[in-house]
Amino acid sequence: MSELAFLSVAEAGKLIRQKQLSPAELVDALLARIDRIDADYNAFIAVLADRSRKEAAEAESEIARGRYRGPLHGIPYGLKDLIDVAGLPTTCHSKLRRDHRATADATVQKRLREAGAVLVGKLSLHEFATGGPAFDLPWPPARNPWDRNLHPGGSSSGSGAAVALGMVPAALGTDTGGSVRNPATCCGIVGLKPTYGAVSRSGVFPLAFSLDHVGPITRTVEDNAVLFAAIAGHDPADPGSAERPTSDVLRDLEKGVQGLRFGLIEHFYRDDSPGQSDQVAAIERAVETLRALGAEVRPVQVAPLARWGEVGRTILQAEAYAVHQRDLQERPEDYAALTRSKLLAGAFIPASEYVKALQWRRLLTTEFMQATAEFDAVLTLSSLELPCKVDDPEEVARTYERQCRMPFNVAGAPALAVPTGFTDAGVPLGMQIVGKPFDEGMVYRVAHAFCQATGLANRRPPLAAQPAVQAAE
Amino acid sequence: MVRVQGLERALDLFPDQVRAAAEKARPLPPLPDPTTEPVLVVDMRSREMER
Repeated sequence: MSELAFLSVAEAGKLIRQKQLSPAELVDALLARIDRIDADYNAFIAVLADRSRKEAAEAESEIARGRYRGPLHGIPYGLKDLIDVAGLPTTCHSKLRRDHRATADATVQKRLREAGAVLVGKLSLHEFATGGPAFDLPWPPARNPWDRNLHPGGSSSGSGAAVALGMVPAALGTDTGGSVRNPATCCGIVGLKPTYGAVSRSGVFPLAFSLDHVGPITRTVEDNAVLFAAIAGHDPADPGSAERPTSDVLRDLEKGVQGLRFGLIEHFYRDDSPGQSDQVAAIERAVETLRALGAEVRPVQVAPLARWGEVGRTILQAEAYAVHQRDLQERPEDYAALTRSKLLAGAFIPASEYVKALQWRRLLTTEFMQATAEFDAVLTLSSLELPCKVDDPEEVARTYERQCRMPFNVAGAPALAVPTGFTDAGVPLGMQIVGKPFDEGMVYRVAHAFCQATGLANRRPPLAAQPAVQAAE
Repeated sequence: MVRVQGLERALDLFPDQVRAAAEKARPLPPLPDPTTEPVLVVDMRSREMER
């Protein structure tokens, strides 16, 4: 079972296409693993055992009849539970949404279903993709696969945990200020925030319209590219969807980085907000690895991290409050305390401050595009801290916004979190590879070369027997 | 308190949280040019135009 659990999408897809692996057998193995270990990690809000077995049987039958749909046919996946699946609740991990039923599939779910992929379950998150690990909700928070006492990052916390633990090979998350890349970094895997507009958000519960992105979380870079290729592309149902055709992100995956030029935004973690020493040492090693592979890496200066953070936060809080205003006014007690605190901040942002943030956004983004124009990609840290204990609200509050991810939500550029190593205690470390808008192919190319050289994606969580911390009511 | 219109229930149930949220509000620094055009969602999807 363990070997099936850690098959990559690409490996499983190849075996399924060659009829050497049965989708039904694969799904059964993953369901058994979920049944055995998820009580310790809380990655799932809903496991769709019957549905996934039915879909896997259908995939197997189609493939047997010679109707192979492509690299995701028969491949299991999970969805962050703010993505609609027709007939199922989209809980957003919230008491407010327990009785919700989606009437249609989100566009990304529709595309994965049409690709023949098999939905295994809905995954836990921070309530409404904000807040943080909370114990006053109908479902417990997910835990870190490498140490159950730590948080797994968020807000796509269940997506990160489920993929790292071999419960599914792929999942979708959403990213408004880093919520795909944070769990990817904390769980030692790969997560993409695509270019704004590259992936439809139709049928996905919003946090902040102009910062929201849907992105894949996987154990390997190649798998991430396969997922992205399946879900990207114009969708008239999403007003922010770009009309530009999606490029072939797999075409140049194996080309390596020889001769490429990368900008390193090191002032984010050296000067603006000094990073934790293991995180900084790991990105330094990563830079040396890329240089050894033939790339040129030079520092580049953009706006200070704090400016990006305050602009992004103002936009996020104002837009999120617009979504939640009525519920915060009428039933504030139904939110987790952490979520309520974060969302209430938006009530005190004057309209002029929101517009000012959008004005700053233009200045920051224009400057960023000009400063990085000469580079093929840009590198910087993902988290400035290590994940703290899941039940330590003060540490969660202190460390959660210590990150370098928000700039790329503000700028709309594609950013991929990849692992850079582990601390001596086995806690994952990570960095971001950032591309020009709509150049996810370059981001994947760089990341693939780096991960192939380091082999970090092959390391598996120990399923340690350490006791989980108790819920802090 | 800057503005609590509509938040009476939240203020009644969670006064500390509402006050803390109000106190967290910090104005952004002034723009170099206040006539700068803001970015809208429709601009975001055309971001490749800025390359």
